[in-house]
Amino acid sequence: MSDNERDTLLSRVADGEAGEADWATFRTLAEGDPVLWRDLAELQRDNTELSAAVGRVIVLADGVEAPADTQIVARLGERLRLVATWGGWAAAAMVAVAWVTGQTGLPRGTPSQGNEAGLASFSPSEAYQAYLNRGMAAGTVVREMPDKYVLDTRPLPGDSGRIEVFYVRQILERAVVDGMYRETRDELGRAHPLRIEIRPSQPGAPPS
Amino acid sequence: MTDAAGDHSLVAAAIRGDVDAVRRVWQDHRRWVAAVLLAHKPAGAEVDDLLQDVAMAYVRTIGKLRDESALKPWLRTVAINAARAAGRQVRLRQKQQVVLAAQGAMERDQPPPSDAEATDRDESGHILRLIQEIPEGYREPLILRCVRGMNYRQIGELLSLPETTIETRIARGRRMLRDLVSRAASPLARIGAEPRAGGLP
Repeated sequence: MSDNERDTLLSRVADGEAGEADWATFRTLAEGDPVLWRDLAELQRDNTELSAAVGRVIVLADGVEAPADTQIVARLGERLRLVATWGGWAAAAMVAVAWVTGQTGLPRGTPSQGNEAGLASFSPSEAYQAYLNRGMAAGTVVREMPDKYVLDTRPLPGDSGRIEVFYVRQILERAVVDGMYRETRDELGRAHPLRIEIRPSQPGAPPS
Repeated sequence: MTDAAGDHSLVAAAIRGDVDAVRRVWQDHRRWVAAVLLAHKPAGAEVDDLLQDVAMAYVRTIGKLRDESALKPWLRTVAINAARAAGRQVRLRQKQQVVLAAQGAMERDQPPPSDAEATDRDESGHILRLIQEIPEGYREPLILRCVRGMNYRQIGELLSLPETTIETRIARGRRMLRDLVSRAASPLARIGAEPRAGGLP
């Protein structure tokens, strides 16, 4: 038996992990090598001393709590601050858009439904409204969100004083799916879908 | 420790930001995190100080964890990073002290520790000082084995190593510790005591 095999056997015995075969080997070895018992005793003494010393250090961990409240509140506070800043600015920007373009966000008038083939005769605003109406009827559109986010503004060339505005409209859509998955990667970097368990925050409450 | 399924759902709740889950996951894992810190910390750094750093980092970044099953390796990495950062600070302090000493600005008349203090520190820290001389690859599994409830399989999962490798490293680590203890006990052998290392299995 090599030194490493002997050390592993002693270690296994000291850890209480030795099986029948290990004990049989140990007894056979010990008959011809009385030092084995002494080595086992020394290993157990070292182990006891080390476990006690490590135990004295790691028990300190019980006094260290995760500052969950303060950190999460701080994190949430930061998010709220950003949303408030962005939201306030966006609301102001929305008013500016409405004022500059002279419209309230939704076009007046509703095109007839069910005749999308005739879209070419609609203005972009009318086509957009048709999409909202059809989507709401089919349940795929909930509503258009009131805020528009201004991404960029720039004066038009020349001295007309007019301003070009780039902004984002938000539409709350709805879909019914069989399940939701998140992509995860295994130790080889291969992508696998991981099903996500979804629980309602307020059972039975539809999105409003 | 909780069972795997319960552990995963608790971790998932912590990732979502459930304050209670964040706290409970930490409580389930903080002892072995302290053991990892003990295995990797530089001399002069305190485990409980480093543990505070890890707890802060854990709370701040748990929400970014993608996969619940990756919690343990991730938390171990956070702990090792905290220990390494402390190592850099210790080295920086040592450099500054050398500079100060060279300029003659260091205080030379600090009282030595009392005999009682020195004896107490020696008794409690003797074996921990010796274990710092064992190569890291053997030291960490050996220390983790001292955490109640951590068997070879769990240590293997944490270190991403096969169970048999963990068993071999713990056995060799114990042999190295025995050699160090024997040499430390023998006054003639104190000079040049080196653990019998060899390559990692």
